[in-house]
Amino acid sequence: MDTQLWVEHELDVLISESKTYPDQAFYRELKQLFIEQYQRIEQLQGELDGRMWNPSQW
Amino acid sequence: MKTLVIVAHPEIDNSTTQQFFKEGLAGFDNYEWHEIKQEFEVASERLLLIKADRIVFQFPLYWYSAPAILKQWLDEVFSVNQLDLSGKELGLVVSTGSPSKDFQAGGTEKYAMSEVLRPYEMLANRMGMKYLTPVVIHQFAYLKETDKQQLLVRYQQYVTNEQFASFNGQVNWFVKGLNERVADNPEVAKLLSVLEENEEQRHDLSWNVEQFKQDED
Repeated sequence: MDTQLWVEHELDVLISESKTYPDQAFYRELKQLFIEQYQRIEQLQGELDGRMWNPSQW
Repeated sequence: MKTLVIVAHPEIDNSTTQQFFKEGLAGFDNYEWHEIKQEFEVASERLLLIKADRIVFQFPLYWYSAPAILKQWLDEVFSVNQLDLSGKELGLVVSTGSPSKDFQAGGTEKYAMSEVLRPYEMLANRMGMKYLTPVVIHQFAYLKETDKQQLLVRYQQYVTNEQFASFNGQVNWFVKGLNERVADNPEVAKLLSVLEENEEQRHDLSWNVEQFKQDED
């Protein structure tokens, strides 16, 4: 399974099985942090590709 | 970093918001929850302030200001000549029963919350403190459960995370939280290693992008 899908699935399990309210809040917000982290990585990869294939720099 | 949370509420025990925050900080170190009483000793209050790195005023908004109890406390405890708080941080956690859309140009209240809270920004400036972006809670009772949980974690970081405003700082805070939970569940260790590997990848990519930017200049 793709790592990001595994992370989100794992966190969904932790959210639903949390024994305390603060734990549930922690895992729910951690999931949002992971989503933002993957977005940032994707954006940086896109920017790097764009700069590598910039014909004006060839 | 040590944080002092100054709670100014005339009826703390009946405030669901304040109880929500108080319970949300259980298990954290390096903070002190201090409820202001009608009677206090100026010297001991000042000592608490001096020992803290971050000071947070927490109160419900009454007529565009804090409850009178905080004003009286400030008038007696704060002093430009007798209290040195320079270099410390000042944060605010303010709750209001009005929706956020009211606090803007053209809205019912006409002015933004940043303008309403300006006296505290001036206070921080006068005392040589760094003013932190306030946490404002609008209509706590109407928040959805997921929004309440988001607020709780944001609040926990406001009190306990030195770098709560940056993504790096937030990642480090969650890394610490995961390390404290590893013993409860073996899957947590795997999540922790993915989080750290991703960060390494993100920093590498960021470094490479910077190199290209410099070469293009």
